[in-house]
Amino acid sequence: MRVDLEFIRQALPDIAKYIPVTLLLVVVSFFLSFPAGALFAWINYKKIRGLSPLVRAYMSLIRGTPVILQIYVIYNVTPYLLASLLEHMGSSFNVYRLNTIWYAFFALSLSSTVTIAEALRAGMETVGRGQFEGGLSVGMSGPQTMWHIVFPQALTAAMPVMGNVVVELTKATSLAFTMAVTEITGRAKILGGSVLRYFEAYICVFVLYIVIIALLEQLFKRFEKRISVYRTGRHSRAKA
Amino acid sequence: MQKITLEKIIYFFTGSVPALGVTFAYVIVSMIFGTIIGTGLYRMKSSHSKVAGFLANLYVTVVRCTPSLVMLFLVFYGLPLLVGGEAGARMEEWPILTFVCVTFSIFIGASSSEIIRAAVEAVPAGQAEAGLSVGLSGMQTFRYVTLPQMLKNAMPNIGNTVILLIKEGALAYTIGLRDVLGQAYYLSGREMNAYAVSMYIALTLIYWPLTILLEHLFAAFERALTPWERKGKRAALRRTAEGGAKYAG
Amino acid sequence: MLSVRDVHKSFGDNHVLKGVSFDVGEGDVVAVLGASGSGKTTLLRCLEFFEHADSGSMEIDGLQVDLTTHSARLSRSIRQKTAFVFQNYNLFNNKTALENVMLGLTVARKMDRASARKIAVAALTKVGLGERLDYYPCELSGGQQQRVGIARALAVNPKVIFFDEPTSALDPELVGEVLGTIRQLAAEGTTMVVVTHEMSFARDVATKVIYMDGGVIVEQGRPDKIFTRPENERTRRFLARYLQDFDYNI
Repeated sequence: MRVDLEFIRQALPDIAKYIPVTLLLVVVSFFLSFPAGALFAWINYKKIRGLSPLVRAYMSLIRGTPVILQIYVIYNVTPYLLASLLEHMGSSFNVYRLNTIWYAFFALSLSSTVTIAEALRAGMETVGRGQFEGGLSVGMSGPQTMWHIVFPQALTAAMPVMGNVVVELTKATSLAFTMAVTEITGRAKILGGSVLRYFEAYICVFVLYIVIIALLEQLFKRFEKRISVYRTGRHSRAKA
Repeated sequence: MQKITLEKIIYFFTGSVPALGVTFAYVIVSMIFGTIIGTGLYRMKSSHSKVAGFLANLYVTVVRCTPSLVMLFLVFYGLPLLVGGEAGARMEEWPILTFVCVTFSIFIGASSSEIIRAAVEAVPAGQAEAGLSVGLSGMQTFRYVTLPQMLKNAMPNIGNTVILLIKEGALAYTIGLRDVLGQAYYLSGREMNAYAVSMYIALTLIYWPLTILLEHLFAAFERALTPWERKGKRAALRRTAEGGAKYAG
Repeated sequence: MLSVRDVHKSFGDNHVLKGVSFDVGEGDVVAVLGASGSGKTTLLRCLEFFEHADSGSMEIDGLQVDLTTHSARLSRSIRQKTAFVFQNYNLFNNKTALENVMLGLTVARKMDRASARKIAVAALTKVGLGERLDYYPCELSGGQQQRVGIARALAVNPKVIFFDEPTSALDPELVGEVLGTIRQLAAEGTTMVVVTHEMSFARDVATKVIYMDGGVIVEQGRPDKIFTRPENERTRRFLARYLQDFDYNI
């Protein structure tokens, strides 16, 4: 079995330089998909007439098509749409000067929005109606109660899924190269192709993903512990 | 902007649907081998040996952290190495389907071990004990008591796995597999991608309904696997006034 | 200060409230008694707009309200004059005891945090939980949680506090501490409507007793009268069932 270890030693730091791009993709996509997912969750939870079926159909569409297809549609179709929209508004902005990473943020956030929406909706249903009535009884409005009481508890309930979303997002960034965004997989492809050492290049990337995801998961677990402190309390079990 | 014509959509649709055979091929093979691997991993995880447990968990963790694309390439370029050749060799001799099946068997191995574990743990221990207490052998208890309940527990997960597999498998076009996506791209390439949007629509029309169909299919499987829950409904009806009249006797 | 007129409510075919009317004066402690299914909880929930009555009206502190209204704004303005203590406490699980009591002031009434904190601490101290301000509900016993619920109701300075079977979910040994708190409030003149199964409490603390059965008020009046010389046969039967060893003053 002949594996070029020297290449691995050289390529690894080179590829690792693109980790920030991967992380940027993960973080921005996550923070884009969270509010969108929360909105969809709200619509589905309240079963808002007219909107809710639309949202659910959209969610079914995203869940039912491969990510790579979504990426291709976003990457190839959005510029056209944006260009004609800008033309209508009389702007002379050249859409093609826009950094393609924006398309990547959008395309990657599609799937995670749907997962987050489902998780938050389920979380909201776990939070009993009594919590909501408690909020109303002290004079808070419905939205105030949702924001201060129901939503935080729904989020805590959905935390494990959130961690999963981050992991899946990180793995999905490996497709960003198809949108001309060079992150670690893209870089590996370039390097590997230049000397026909594809296998070794992908070994590097393979290792890097494990490291990145392990670290992200650790961070997430810490965060999860902090916001779910109300479930276990801070004091010793002195239920006097 | 391109012309989106119904004619082109139909062209891509009918041109790609036959490739579903390829899709089902790797799905079925990967599910079979993946489940075998997963069962082995589960046995390792639940065994008394700490080493076995550690190795099994290591496998699952590593696979869980690997993007499908990277794994595909690793297997594609690396499998020939294992068989004593150079990395990247033998590509012309082996069908691409082999690499795809190996890749996804690895993935299914990891996820199925978790599914099996969850499904087993959800069946109360008392069930097996009861089976043994009435004289069933270990094997029989497993077959008639534990397994059906396991299957029912696992059904939603199995359904999700199959759907995920179909979607992730679309990436296989990058190593040249002519499954639905690969075929569509090939056809589109022949037209110099002039009708790309029609192709996207056609592909969506293939994947989306397929996914919905599979979701309903698996839900039906799940219902079919639990006749005991259906009979319960009948008994509950019997207790109501009108139900009593219908089901009396 | 609170008058309720002709409340009707049905759940599907089940006509739960069939025209209930009563009055509550300032400082009154009204105990509402009755078997399960008599509609007493539903009545209270209608007054707080957790259920929408099919018909009926209410006047509270001079404000006239149609109980069938679905207006969120109207419901909210009425809820700002009242407070509710729930059978299963409904404390905000993600907030400490102090935060639970403060929320109605800071968020619902836009009070500044310092003043709200002062009021909240006073309320919690009054119910005996001054040492548990930063405890989460999961760290408190049932009785403690309910007392936080009472403090939460007190803090918003309501015209009337509704209690929906405040001790029904408690272990027997914890019932006393909550009843004691309610007793204390009664002594201070807080206007309260208490749906309860605790007969001796009703007899000792209430200024007025209402007995409900089958969705109507069968009898109402002063506790000494109701408990010793009930006029209605159904009332007599109800009380006899619960107070077998009760001696009637002749």
